[in-house]
Amino acid sequence: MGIMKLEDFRKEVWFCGGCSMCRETVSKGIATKHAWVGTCPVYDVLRFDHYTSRGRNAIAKYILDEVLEYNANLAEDVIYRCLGCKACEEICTPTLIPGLKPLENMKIIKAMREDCWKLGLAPQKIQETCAKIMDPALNNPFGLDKALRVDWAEKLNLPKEAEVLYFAGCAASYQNPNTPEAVIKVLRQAGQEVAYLGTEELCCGHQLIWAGDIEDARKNAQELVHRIQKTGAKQVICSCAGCYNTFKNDYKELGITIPFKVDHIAKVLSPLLNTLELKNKIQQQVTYHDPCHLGRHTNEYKSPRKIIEKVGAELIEMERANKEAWCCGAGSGGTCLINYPELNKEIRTRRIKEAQATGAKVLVTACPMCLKNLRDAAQENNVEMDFYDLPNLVAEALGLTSEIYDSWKG
Amino acid sequence: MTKALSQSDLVAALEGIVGKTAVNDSDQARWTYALSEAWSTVSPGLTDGLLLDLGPPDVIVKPKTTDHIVEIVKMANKYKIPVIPRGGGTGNASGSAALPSGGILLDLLDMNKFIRYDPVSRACRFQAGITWGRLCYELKKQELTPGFMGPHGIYGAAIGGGISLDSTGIQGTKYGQETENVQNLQVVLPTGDVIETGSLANTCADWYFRYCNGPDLAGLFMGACGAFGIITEATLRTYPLPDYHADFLYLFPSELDQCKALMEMDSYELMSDYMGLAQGFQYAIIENVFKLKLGATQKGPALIHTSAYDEGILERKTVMLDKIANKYGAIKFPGDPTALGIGAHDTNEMLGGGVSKWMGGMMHKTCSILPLLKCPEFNEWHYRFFKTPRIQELLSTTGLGNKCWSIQYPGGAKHGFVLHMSMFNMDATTRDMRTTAYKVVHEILKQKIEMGTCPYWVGKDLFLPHLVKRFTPAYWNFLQTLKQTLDPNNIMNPGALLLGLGDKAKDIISKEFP
Repeated sequence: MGIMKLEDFRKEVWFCGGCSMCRETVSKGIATKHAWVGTCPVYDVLRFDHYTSRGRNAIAKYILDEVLEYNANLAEDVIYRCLGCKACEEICTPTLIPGLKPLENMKIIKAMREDCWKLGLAPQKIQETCAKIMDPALNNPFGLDKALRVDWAEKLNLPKEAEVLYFAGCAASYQNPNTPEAVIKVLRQAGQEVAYLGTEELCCGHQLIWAGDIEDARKNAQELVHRIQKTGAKQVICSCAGCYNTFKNDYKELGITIPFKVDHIAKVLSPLLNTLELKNKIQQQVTYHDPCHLGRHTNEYKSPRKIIEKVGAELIEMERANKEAWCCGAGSGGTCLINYPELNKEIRTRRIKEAQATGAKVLVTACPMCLKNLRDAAQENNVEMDFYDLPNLVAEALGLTSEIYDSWKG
Repeated sequence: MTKALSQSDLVAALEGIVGKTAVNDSDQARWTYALSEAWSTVSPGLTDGLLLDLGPPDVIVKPKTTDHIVEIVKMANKYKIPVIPRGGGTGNASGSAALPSGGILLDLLDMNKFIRYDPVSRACRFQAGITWGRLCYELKKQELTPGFMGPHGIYGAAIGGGISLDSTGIQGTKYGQETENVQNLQVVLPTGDVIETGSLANTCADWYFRYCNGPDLAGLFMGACGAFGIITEATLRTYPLPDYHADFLYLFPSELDQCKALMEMDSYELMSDYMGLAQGFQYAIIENVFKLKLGATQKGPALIHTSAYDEGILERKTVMLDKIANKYGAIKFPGDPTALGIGAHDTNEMLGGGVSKWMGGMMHKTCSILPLLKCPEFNEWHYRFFKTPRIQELLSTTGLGNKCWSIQYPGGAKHGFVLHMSMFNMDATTRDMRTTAYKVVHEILKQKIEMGTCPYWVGKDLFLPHLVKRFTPAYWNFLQTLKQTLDPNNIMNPGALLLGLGDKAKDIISKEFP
């Protein structure tokens, strides 16, 4: 059983009015409720209609009517190229009618990917990534040693069981380990002890879901939920926007009920900061990048901004922020990063230049994947900025020190 | 039509002109570009029995400059390959789908430069592929607006495409149709020559005016769907942005009262936009809102948007609107109707995908220009048509549902003429349903044509067979002579306006379609 079959969206794709708002809208402050400058980052770079939601809906019609059929070229060229950033749903015209939902573009693309996966048409690199996640000796998309996942936690003596469990996720554990360290130190400062699965922690399966490998995604999710359940945790805190969305929304689509509450660290830290003493206020101009999975996918825009304000920084918004924020280019499940590096490079360059244009010297985000991607973009483009994951910014403001790096910037 | 170039040679030649990344001939690209607006049963490959055997182009090209287009057109002439220009791809008569002879589809959306604003003629110059969103955005920086603000697709639709289809849409009531605001055009002719119309025909002129230097040649290319040339740059009038806006909702005793009131409000230039709702599903929703709020049972709701440069003027306009509405027995909705999501201005696009989803089926529409006072008569016919046993039977077998409705809409046209939309919602999920609905649509279009309606978008289907059949022979001959003279190799969007089809056009005209 998959998420939903493309056939289930037969009616939905014919609702598409082809209005083109999902392709390229420029409407900042003109005469509309929306304030967009551009919509689809993939279209913004590649410039052909079939890369937009409107185009993919047209392709879906042709597939459903057997005019076109799935093939490796279609999968590689169009179906796996979508970033899953959800900007097209945010601007989709039905949303102009109160109470009406947008076209379900994300579910349609997931259904098409599941079809491709079953037909063995997923791009090779994406298949290899999924295989690494499902390899019991690895359990991560990078193919790195399982033991390395827990390095960051070595000196922290974290319990295996507690009412609250911290889920570090693959990206932070392997690529930005001072984020989980900051999470633990900040929570401890607030008197909150959290459990950690250690080597028992599995990938949340975000990549599997967005690759269309639904059978494995379900198997992986069931095992992970079972392992968390065994700790007795009633609440799980994620610091990765992708993991958070996976637990919160994607597992439901897989038909998996999670018997615990899931929160993103931004939501947890925002109220906690009222009780903590700031020893080292961040008296700088800061810009904030909304991760797609924390923003458009899970509707959390306020908490990160409140945190930035509370630590004493001055927030300078990018031209496209909140619901209109431009994707960093990594793509859901990192599909773009993995399979379309040149496209990813173009998109992240556009975003980092937008951040640079604010004049702020610090960029904060709330997702380790976005953080790494934008940091790489800065290096490629000689943009001099400091980069903080949200918990790291808070750790610095609290005057906490990192055991792993010289500073919380990583 | 013969092609001396293989597909790979054609692609290579085009890549030589515009670069590799601006050419695409994958199946997925070609079929995506075969469809334009998705609200139409004119869906090549997905609906049977279309007027013309439409399908995908051979290749899609994204030119960035007029020179690119000149080179492409010259090459197309040499090898007699059709060239199909396309703007935002949001028109609904498949003007940019290809005939079986295929062709090069020019996606003009990368010709999107805002060139300059001229304070003397208060007009702006841009490449024709610029979207309404980008143009409005650029002009807003200078506190200006193009007035008319785009057709369906609004901010994502391209201006050149709208000019080629005589588009109507947002704020046309106040500022007139898109084409009424055109001052000059730059056009690549089918031979590859480039001309400027109006004041720019004089190479010493650098300001923008339309009616001068001989005949109004801009008009030749507007509404022609690319049959006579490709519009590459355009100049539009601009207006200062009004600071004051208001929306109103009135309920009239009848549709005729509504139309008379709208006509009077229009004649005093009190409205920027309006939407006069007629019989149908949405009408019932508005009616129920009034019933709940005011206990009113009248019919004929109208949504009105007005704007002004001064608060006092806005107040006076409001007083005058109320006075006229009262004269025709209207009740005014207390409060701001945009809170109901039914404004006639910013939320224009609610009539798009939104309504299809709202109604539970794809919306098929028959937009055309009608005299305002003729709308109630057509609406009555439309409603009765959907109630006939034959159509009811078709509806029940195709699942179209009994959701037909009509609107006399913001005008794209002024002075008593409106963009009239009759619509019905249909379940478009199967080929059979689409094919049946396509035939029903043609019955409605035939009736509209017989009532004297003016279709502004002609494309390659829908109104076209009914309209051309009713052209006088002299008019049809004149159009064909123009085509043959300007485009001797018949490369410019063949099939648009039924031109360039030879005997096939004669067959279509000789019998009623379908």
